[in-house]
Parts: sequence; C-alpha cells; structure tokens
Amino acid sequence: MSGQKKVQVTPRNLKLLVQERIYNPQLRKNLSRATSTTLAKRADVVADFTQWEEMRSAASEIKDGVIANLDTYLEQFEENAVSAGATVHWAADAQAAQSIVYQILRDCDAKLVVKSKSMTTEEIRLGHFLEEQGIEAVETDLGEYIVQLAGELPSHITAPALHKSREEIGELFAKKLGIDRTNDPEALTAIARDVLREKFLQADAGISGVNFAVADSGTICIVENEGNGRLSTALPKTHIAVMGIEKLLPDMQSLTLFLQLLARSSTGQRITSYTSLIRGPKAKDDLDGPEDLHIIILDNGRTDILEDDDLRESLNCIRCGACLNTCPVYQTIGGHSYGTQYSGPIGAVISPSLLGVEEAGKMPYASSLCGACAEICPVQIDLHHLLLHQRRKYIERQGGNPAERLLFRLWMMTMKHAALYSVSGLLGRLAGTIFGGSNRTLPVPGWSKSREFPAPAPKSFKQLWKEHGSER
Amino acid sequence: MSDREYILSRIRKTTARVQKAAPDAASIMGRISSVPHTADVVDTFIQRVEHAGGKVGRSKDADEARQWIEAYIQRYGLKRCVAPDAVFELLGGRPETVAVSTAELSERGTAHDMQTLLLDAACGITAAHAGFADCGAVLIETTPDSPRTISLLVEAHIAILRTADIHDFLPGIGPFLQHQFSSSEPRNLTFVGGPSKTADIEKTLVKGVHGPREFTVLLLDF
Amino acid sequence: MKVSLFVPCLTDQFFPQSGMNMVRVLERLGVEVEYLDSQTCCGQPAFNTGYHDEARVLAEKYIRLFDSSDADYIVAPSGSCTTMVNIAYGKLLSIPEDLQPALEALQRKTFEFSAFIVDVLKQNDVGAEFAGKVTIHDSCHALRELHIKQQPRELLRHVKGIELIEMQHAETCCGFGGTFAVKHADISTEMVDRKIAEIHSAGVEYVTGVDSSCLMQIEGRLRRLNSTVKTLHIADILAGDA
Repeated sequence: MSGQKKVQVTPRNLKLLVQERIYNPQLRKNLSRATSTTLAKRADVVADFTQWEEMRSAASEIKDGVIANLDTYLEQFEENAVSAGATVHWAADAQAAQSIVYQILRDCDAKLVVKSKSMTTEEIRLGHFLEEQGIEAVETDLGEYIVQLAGELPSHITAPALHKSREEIGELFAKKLGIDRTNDPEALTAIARDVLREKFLQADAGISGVNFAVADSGTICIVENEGNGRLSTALPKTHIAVMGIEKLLPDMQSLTLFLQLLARSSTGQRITSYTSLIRGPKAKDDLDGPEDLHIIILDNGRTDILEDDDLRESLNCIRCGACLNTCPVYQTIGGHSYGTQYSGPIGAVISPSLLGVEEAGKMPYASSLCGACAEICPVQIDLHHLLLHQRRKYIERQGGNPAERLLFRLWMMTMKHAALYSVSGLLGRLAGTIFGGSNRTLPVPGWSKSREFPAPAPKSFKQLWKEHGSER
Repeated sequence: MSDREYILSRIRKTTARVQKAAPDAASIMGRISSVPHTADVVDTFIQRVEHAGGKVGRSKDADEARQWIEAYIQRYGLKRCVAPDAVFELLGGRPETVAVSTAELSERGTAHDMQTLLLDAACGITAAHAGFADCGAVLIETTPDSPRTISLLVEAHIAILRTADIHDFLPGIGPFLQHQFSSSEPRNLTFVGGPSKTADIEKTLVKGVHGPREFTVLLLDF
Repeated sequence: MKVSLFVPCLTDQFFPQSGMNMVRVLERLGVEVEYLDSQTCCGQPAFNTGYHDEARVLAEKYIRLFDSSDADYIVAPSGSCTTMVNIAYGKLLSIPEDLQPALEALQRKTFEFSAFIVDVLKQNDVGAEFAGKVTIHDSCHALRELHIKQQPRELLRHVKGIELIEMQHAETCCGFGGTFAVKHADISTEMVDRKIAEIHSAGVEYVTGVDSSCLMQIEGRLRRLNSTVKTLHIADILAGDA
C-alpha cells in the first residue's frame, strides 16, 4: 500500500480553530439547541431509576475488571466469534486496519460499501482511505451522510451533524445532490432515504462499528436508531465490523446494564430503536444476512492508554457523548474546534494518547476543569482528573512553553518563602497604585481584553490580621 | 510478530502487572437487578413504547388479534402483510388482506424478489420473545422463517407479544439471552424500541429514515 | 475549639476583607482562630497547568506548616483550595511517602468555610443581617469535588433581610478555570457571559459564592459590562450585622 496519506488530522491549531467558530452565532445557536435538548431528555429518562448511581458504579466496576483482564476476554471473544463462523483480524494501528479492510474488499471484488456510523472507523479515516483506493464508501447514518457530503469531520460522537442548521443542510443537499432546495427535516430525510436505499440494495459490503463485544459468546452489539446499522449488516454479502480492543463485556447480563446506560446517556432515550446482537454471519437457512462476517480488533494507541495507570479508566468509555453535551466549553466551541475525531472532554483525554502529544497535547487545556463531565459519565470516568493527568504528561514530555515554565519557577520560588511572597505582594500593591488608577484595575495580558482584573487590596490579609491581633 | 501477538503481549504486560481479579459480573448485576415500579408493568410498557414513537394494540383472543391487523393494514393503506407461518398460527389463521408467509417467500426465488415484495408497501409481522417495561422495547429474533428484512425494508413493523412476556427490567432477559447464545450457531437478535428514526437535523424527530415508519406492538392477552 | 485559617493567596492579596469577614463570623460563633503567618499558596495554579514539580514544593511546604499547628480544624474561604488539599494532594499530585500520615490527618480536618459552619459547628444561623436581592453561583470544585450545595444556601436563608433568588444554571461553570481564563480567554469570556445573562435575568443586586476566584471572573466581566450587580463572598454577607 504505497502513497498512503497520513491518517490523522492536526489539532495543533486549536486556538485558531476556536477563533473561527466561537463568534459564529449560527453555530452557537445550533450547539446550544442540540446540547440542551439532549440533556433535558437525558435528565427525564435517568429519573426513571432511583438506583442510577448504583448502575453507574456497577458499570464502572465491570469495565475496570474487564480492562484489567483484557487479554483473557479478547481471546475468549475471538474463540467464540470464530466458532460461530466469524473471521477475526487484529490491527495494531490505523494503517493495519485499513489494509485488512482493503484486502477483504478486494477479495470479494467490492466496488460499493455502505458504512453505518462508527467513531472507530472515523478514527482510522476508513471512508477517506477507501475513496482513495477507488472504492465508494457511503456513510448511511443521516448525520454522517451530511458531514460526508460537506467534507467535514463529525462534530459530536453520537450526533455528527449537530453543528448544522436545517438551512445549512438544505443548502448542502441542493448543491451536492442537485435537488430543489428544501429546509424541511422531513423532506431532507426522505431525500437521503431514497439516495441511500439504492446504495443499500446495491452494496457489496457493509462496514459497521461495534458498541459492545460480548466475550462469552463472541457476540457484537450495534446500537442505532435509523436502521442503517441493521441494513448494513443484513443486505450486503460481506459485513466488516471494526472495534477497539476496549469494547469487551463479560456476558449478556452485563450487556443489558450497559444498554440501559448508553441510550439514556447519549440521546436521552430509554433504548434506541435498534439494538442488534450479532453472533456470526447468517445462519445456513436464513433468507438474508451476510455470508461473511469479519471482525477487526483495533489497538491504535489503546494499549498505550492501558499501560498508563493514570489514564487506564478512559478505556471504560462507551462513547455516549454525554460529557460533550454537558461540557460548557464544548457547548461554546463545538466539536470541530478541537480538530480531532474525538472532541469534548473524552476527546481531550484520549486524543493525546491516540494521536501523540505532539499533535494533541494541548487539547486538555481547553477545559475549565469544572467536572460536569465526570458527574454525568455513565461509567464514572473521572474525566476532569484525567485531563489534569494529561496536562502533567504534556509538561513532562514537552517541557511546556519556556516562558510559562520560567514564570511558574519564579512563582514557586516566591511562594516557597513567606518573606519573598510578602515582598512581591507589596510590589503588586505598588503596581496597583501606580497603574490601577481610580477604578483599581490592573492590566493582565489575556485577561484584560474582556474583563477587569482587580488591583491588589491596599492591605493584605496578613496585614489586616496583624492589626486585628493588636485590637484583641 | 503478528499484530495479534503484538497486541496481546502489550496487553499482558499491563494485566500481569496490575493483577486484578476478573469482575464477578453476576454478583455486581445482582446489586441492581430490581427496579421498584409503582405503576402497572403493562401500562408502563405501553406508555414507553408510545413515548418512543411506537404504537400498541391489545387483543383478548386470536380473532380480535387478526381483525386488529386487518384494520391496521387498511388504516395505513398497506398492500400486504408478510409473516412467518408461526405468527399466522398464533393469530388463528391469515388475515383477510393479502398475506404472504415467509415460507412462500423463500419458495418464490431470489433475495431480490423478496426485497421487492417487502419494499412495496408491506407490513412485516414478527413474533417477539419478550417486552420490557423500563425501556418500551421488544426482543425479536432472526430465524429462517423470520428474516432480518421483514422488520426492516417494510413500511410498517408489527411485533406480536404475549402480554405475559413483559419484563419490568431489561436485565431480566439476561438468562434467556445467555441461553440463546450458548450454542456455537450464528444468532441474530434485535431489541426494537421504536420505528426507524433520526433527530440528526436540528434534533427534529423524523420517522422512517431507513427502516419502517411505523412500529407497533400487538399485545396478546391470551 | 481552635481553627487554623487557610487563607488562599488570592484572598490574601486581592480579597483580604473576605478573609477578615470569615474571621469575624467564626469568632462570633465562639471559635478560637489562629493564622499561620508563613502560609502562601497551596500550589494549585501550577498543578492545574501541569507543573507538578513546582506544585509539589508548595504542597510539601503547606503540609509541614499546617502539621505544626495544634488546631482542631483548618478552614478556608474557598472550595477550590480546599479541594486542592483534600482531593488533589496525594491522589492527583504525588507527595513524599513520609508526609502521607500528616497529609491524611490534615485532610480529615480541613473544611471549606460554609461547610464547616453547617457540617461541623452544626449552625445555620450566624446572626447576620443583609438587605438585598442575592443569587448564589455554585463553584465547581466546591459543588462537584466537595459536594457543597446546600450548606451556603442554608446559611444565606437564615440571614435577616436577605432575598435569596436562585438563578437558572447556577451549577454551570463561570469560565474561570485558573490559567484557562487566560489561555483560552475567548472561551472563558463566552462562558462568563452566559453566567452573567442568568444573573441578570434573576434580577438580583448581588451574586455570591464560596470562592473568590469565580467571583473575580464574574466581577471582572460585570465591571467591564458596566453592570450594577456586585459580587460578594459568602463571608461578606454572613459577617453583615447591618
């Protein structure tokens, strides 16, 4: 496979991307509508359970245990999947996964592939890769179809096109599909249905992700609402499922718990319209279903996360997207500002490991560390603490900005010595008197463009305390 | 080294160091396996199917069930219904509208013929193993006489469910699923929790994206 | 009962009156108060930015200093700095083994000011009077790390003359986030603008909270927007005797 482009996109210019988006009122409106609607629906259905917190901790406990014994579960899964007739492949990185898919598609002479929504295939830029190889790979989830038409990345884990308004989608469809302009969601959906139904009926292969993989039976579980996941795995002769190594669950009983958590957390539904449990290809006498099922188990940086005691729990993630919806930063800037496939708090936690510190090391700084993400996470990942770990790792590996490093050094030296600290306080007060003026404001780079920064008080607490002491 | 060996060896490096016992999933699940329901389980089920955009019918005997389906097909202007013979037996015979059994479908010839038939204003009827009041879903299974597309390419999907098979809590189906997936045969089961739908455009709900516009559960009280 | 004050550097330098108001309230409640003069900063700014080595130096200094006190409790007018000591030290910021026992002892007796009054002193009426319409902003660390939500409200409800009005989304971050407020000033400002919109629609004269840092962010923007709404640390209200 020669001439392959680099797989990943570059999130390095995060600040620039934010700049482009933050003052876009249409985007802000779209984001705010999408996130607030979903959060409200979620709150309604979570209230079904008095024991939601127990369910979260049970899920977290199960995932912790699975991840700590991942080798055993993966082998068990593989054995059971194979015994039901599936072919299991292992891919160390994105390139390996792409090659495997390409090989399978070449073997079955595939020209047209239907894809159901999958963040893992986004991660390895599979659609993009297949197009480069001359294989038509159509995204069939409506949101994914929209971003594919627009040539964009999904801006949300579960709602890829939430950044777009109906007008923007109407314009896109008119331009790309050569149809009469309409902004009606019903009409736009019907248009997509017609276009994509033809693709489903003609496709040579279907590619899906995997929401959960059940170890003790080799079953994969695909969760969706539109039916495109089911069609992709019912009509074409070949089904290729791509899953990260972390998708494992021990058994069906555990799966039922995770289904409860996933639908409620991601879309505010009690369950999605379709939750498919697929074990092996079609049975001999089935009237439909794929002749071949290929399951690709992908590492692509996950074993690096596994190795890291501080970050390991991020492998518990079930990609519900709730941390994005609740994150005030995500709500403000949207997914594209991060420049990566995985955005929001979970994206900022895992991307430096998946893409490298060089590429994504600064992502964890795009957070106020408010902890709303950890509070909502259905599997109790301490997301804001993991962001802190990633910041430390960034500084450890990169050394940080030299000026910033020096500043913190000096600051630390000052704070270490009470006398120095007091002197610097005095200097601050002096500066406040000189520069603060009558409204007692100090100019602080970065801060003062939009906010007043207070000048130090005329007397510090230390001084006031001394006076207080002499009064007593 | 193969990618398989590479990945597994990297994982083992960590699992050997961490040394944590595998989770006792059964006992963990035991802690949360019951939900106090104040409302009636059947009422809750009906309410939640409807909340998810589905509809629910009820019948007290086979005749009523059959008539209900006939009326349904007329109401939605459908051309035919397709179902496994087993479902027609449950209904005490075929409805008076054009009814096709899946056995006939497979005799008719190609997959293409079957698709054409299903795509032409058909209503697919499947049996459901169970229903779940906490989420308003049913569990259906793909079998040789109940193909995947019968609940997928059609305009409307009706799931036939015995009222007695409604569970209050999804994890209640765990043991059944465990049993279903215990052999080495291929299996394909689906929880259906509403019509095919999307909210990808401005969170506006649109039904019938790629699959059935209508999803209905017909409860059999007998 | 003796309390040792943990006065964060921000309070010391910028909001010393709030520190003194905390002293007044505690003394009014009959608590003996001490202040260790050589305290500086808990290290949070460096820690949050990823500079753990620098933060650790200050954490060690902090632990040694407060370990030397015989006070029954340590009380801070900040949920965020209390979180630094009670949650981050040890768990997120590694500290030398030999300081571990001292740290654990400190963590057991360190409290945020409002939580200390309600949960430890078991008081909800500090005998304060305050005339004005007030809303409260939930500071993230106090709320999510220390689960402080009802304590400040309970204290405020017992203040004579106060009109306490809840704003929408009181629990949403104000956008401060330490160095985030400077590194991502644009995002930070958009966040505080949403907070201020809620404050304004609540129709209040004052916004209060348990952390001066969040209040500094809100105040900084309020002043820039020429709003008439003022910020007050909860200690400023509780010390009020009209």
